Amino acid sequence: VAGVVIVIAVALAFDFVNGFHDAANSIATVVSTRVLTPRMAVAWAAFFNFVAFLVFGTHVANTIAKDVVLQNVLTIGVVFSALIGAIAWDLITFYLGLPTSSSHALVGGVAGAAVARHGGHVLVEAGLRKIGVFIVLSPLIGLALGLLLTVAISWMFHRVHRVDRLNRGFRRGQLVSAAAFSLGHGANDAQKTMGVILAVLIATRHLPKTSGVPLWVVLAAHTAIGLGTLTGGWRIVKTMGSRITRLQPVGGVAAESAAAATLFFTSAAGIPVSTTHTITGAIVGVGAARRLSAVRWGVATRVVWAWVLTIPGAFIISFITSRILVVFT
Amino acid sequence: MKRDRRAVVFLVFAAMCFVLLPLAEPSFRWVCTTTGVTYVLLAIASALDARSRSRL
Repeated sequence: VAGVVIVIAVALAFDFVNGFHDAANSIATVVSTRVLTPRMAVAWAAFFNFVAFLVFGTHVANTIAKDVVLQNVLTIGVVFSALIGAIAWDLITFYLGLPTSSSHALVGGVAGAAVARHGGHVLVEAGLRKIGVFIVLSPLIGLALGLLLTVAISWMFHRVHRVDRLNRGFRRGQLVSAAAFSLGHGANDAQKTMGVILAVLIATRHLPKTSGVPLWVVLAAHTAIGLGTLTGGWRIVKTMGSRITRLQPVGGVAAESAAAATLFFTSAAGIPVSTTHTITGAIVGVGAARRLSAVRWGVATRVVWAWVLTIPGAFIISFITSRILVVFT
Repeated sequence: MKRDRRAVVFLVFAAMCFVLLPLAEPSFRWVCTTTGVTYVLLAIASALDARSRSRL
């Protein structure tokens, strides 16, 4: 029981770090367009992170618990190593100011820790293929939607000459779009932690194999991510809010709405995607609607590198942690 | 006439979506197809936009 409690505590710590790390995604555009003060923006995002459990199911949690590696190899040691790898990767990239994906870090961590103990045959090919396809697709969908929304808004309002009035309207609209994005973030990311906890509870026979996610796990995961967001990470706000492309309130609305729509779809379909890459794609889409040179491709390329390196990075750290645990236990 | 870089980038994105098509689960293939087709249409629209601007 002590082992289970420790792993659940580490899983919730991962969720907290996830909220801390990804807070920037939810609030960067609201802060950079000065719609809300940083403190208010963080509270706004944290609230919608928390209430996401009322809106979405737990399909993503089931994918993490059952579709990455064979369920019977997810022991306490494997899950613990996976979480250490994912947290370590998140903290390294946080220190470097890179908007990487906590979700991919977790998938890489689970895969690395399980392979270290049982070999490559425990990987679930179909599940990993589904996750892999959407690693590429989610930012592309976000980008396309961000661009299309920007063009649609431009067409709808091109006759309005009072730009200041229009901007004021979109500043209010950003409150709604930021809330929608935070809702999507809470739904997709908190569920990954639920998945890990569910896997441990099934592995230790506290729950039957066919069990869904218990309510206390849902509430604990959403509380952890909400508190993490409340603590906020400011390094990444700068990268997301102003360094990829300069955003006006209208661009903020388009980017957040596009990313929120992508997250709603993937959460409902049970696909764990990166909220970071989805909003990055959407912000690039808003910039590309003006012209390609409006996007700072150097920064976008750094994001892509972080994107490519996340799964191998977390895989290696978890693999080593898992091997060390085998020696000491 | 100058080549429209944005259209080229969109065509690369469309190609990525179509490459993913056989890897995706059958129930999600429509997502790859829809996204790929959207990028092809965006590439055409971008090229036409660039062409009309170059004539101004």
